[in-house]
Amino acid sequence: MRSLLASLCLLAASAAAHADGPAPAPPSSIMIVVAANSPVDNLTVEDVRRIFTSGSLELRPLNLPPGTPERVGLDLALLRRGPDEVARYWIERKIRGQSGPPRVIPSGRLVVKIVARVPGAIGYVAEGPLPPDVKAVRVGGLPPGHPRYPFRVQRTP
Amino acid sequence: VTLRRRLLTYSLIQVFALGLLPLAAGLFVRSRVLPILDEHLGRKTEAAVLSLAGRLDVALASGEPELVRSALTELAGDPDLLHAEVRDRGGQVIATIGSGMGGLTVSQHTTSVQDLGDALAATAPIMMEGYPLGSAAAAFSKARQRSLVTWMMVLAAAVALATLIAVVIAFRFSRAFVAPIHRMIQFSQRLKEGGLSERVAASAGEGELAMLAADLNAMAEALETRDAALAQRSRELEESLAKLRAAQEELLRSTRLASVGEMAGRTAHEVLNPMTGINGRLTKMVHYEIDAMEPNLDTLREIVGAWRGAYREDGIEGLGRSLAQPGADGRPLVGEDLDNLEGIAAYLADSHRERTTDLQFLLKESDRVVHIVDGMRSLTRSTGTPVRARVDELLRESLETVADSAAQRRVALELRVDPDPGAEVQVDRYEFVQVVTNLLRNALLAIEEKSGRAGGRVTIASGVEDDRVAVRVRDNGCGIRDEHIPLLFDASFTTRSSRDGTGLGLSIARRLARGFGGELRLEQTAAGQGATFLLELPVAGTRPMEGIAHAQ
Repeated sequence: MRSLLASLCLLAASAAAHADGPAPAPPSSIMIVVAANSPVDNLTVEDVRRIFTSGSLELRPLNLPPGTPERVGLDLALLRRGPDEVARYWIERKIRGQSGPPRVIPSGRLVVKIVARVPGAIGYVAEGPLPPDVKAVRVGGLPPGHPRYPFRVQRTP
Repeated sequence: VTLRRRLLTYSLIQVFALGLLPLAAGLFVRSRVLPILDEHLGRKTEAAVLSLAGRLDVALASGEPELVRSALTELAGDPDLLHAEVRDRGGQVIATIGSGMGGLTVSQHTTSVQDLGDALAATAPIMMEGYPLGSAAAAFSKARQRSLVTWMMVLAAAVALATLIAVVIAFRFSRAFVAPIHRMIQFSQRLKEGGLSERVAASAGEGELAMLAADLNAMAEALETRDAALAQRSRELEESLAKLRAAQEELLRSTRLASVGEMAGRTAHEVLNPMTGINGRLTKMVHYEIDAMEPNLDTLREIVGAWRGAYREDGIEGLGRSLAQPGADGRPLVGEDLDNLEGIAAYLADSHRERTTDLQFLLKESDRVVHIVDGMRSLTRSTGTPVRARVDELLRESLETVADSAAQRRVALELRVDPDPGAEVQVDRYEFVQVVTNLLRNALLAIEEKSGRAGGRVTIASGVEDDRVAVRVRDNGCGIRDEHIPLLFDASFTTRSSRDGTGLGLSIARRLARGFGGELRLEQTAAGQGATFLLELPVAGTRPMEGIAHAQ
């Protein structure tokens, strides 16, 4: 299973690299994805922070494994913390009895699939093509790819 | 038989300890271990199902059948797994491995563990952030842990059975083990009964028992040798004893002869006095007959011859004429003859008186001789027939014998039979009385020697000391001087005149006392302070009841 997940990750990375094109370009956006039939179309950054840190009654947030560029970029945008600090942040929350991080899904591809099948599921993936039963949410009224779109992948050195 | 019974007992204890105890322990452990194993398996089942459900959420949520199969395949490695399945939220089985399971109730919402008899099953819901996706279920078999316990029980039973078989075989073999011991027991019994020439057989295969048998045989041989030596020694001792007895007899005879000789000497000495008197008197009487009677008889015969001659010649006239003739002095012869006849008659009258006196003297002296000889005979007489007799009765008898003498000498006799008047001794009555009488006579004489006719006191005290009757004869007479004490029991020793004794008294008394198995000795004395003689005799058996009644 692990080897399968690893190959999926590689596929996603190569897809992202292919999307970036050969010329240097600004880092791609992180899309916040929900089911196409979801009433959610637009969220503020604060909404996204609340959903992905404290949870939500209506929405079921899905995480990506730590260290992935999407996860690092979103944590940096939402929590203003690097990967190690984020790990400590969640540990401290657990110590205080607060909720932990959202369920980690091994890859963006699976996130897209789950978002399409599980009602209320909300996840994030690198900017790219989506199946028809999944849509990307606007953030602060801006679509992914917009120059002022707040969430961008962050590649670790 | 006892040895084999013990072996059997020990063996049965061994069966119990080595066989039945593990069996019982196995049953006990089984009753305790099975629930623990079930509980452990239950936890394992629950953990496995929860883990499965936790891993399947992504698979179900993403609808990737490959992921579901992958998760189930990981579980398939468990040897206890009977069955595992994954259902979707509609309850439809979407993946399964194993042989299937009946009776399992699957819940989409709660986790549960169920006992299916031969297996334990668990079911858990698969959720994604609170959203139910389906359920996972797995069943684990109890067979392995059951077989473990079963094997344990089989092992315990095998141990019990093996022990039992071992004991049966050991009991069979014990006959071979015990047989040599029995042989040795029989051998030792025969030894005990005197069969010293017996030997016990043993084969080399019997190990230590064979060594023991060899030792026993060596012991028997040593015993036999020693027994033979002892028998030889015993024969020699018997011969020596016979010789010793003969020597003793000889010695006794010599002693007796010596004693008889002594006594004869003493008797002769005592008899000599009266016999001297008798002899002197008889000599006097013979001289008288020769010197004095003969002339008178001659005169008488002369007168009678002259008278008979004159009467034969001329009858009565011739006798008258003859008597009328004048004699030498001028008177008629008849006057002279009558004077002579008167003189002879007077002489005969005197002689008759003297002879009477002499005969009385001779009778008295011969009586004395008879008395002395009779006294000797009575002192040496021995009936040698010991009988059981009460000491107090014997002492009273002895006192009666000397009562007259004591009364004449104003001596008080006191008898104390304390504290055991019923004590009996095994003696010849006559001899015992003779011994005590002898002591009493000595006491009377000692008192007389000290006080003359002033009298004194003799005490006889008897009592039982240990197993001996002690009779003490105590007087307050003159006592015995130190220099006389060592000679006291010599046959020839006496301090008295021949009239009072022969010196044989104490010697004979001691001999008689030793003949009873007792002893006679001087216990205490001091010159002028009296003396105490102690006669000790062994008690004859236990005191009869009537003796106690008599004492009371």
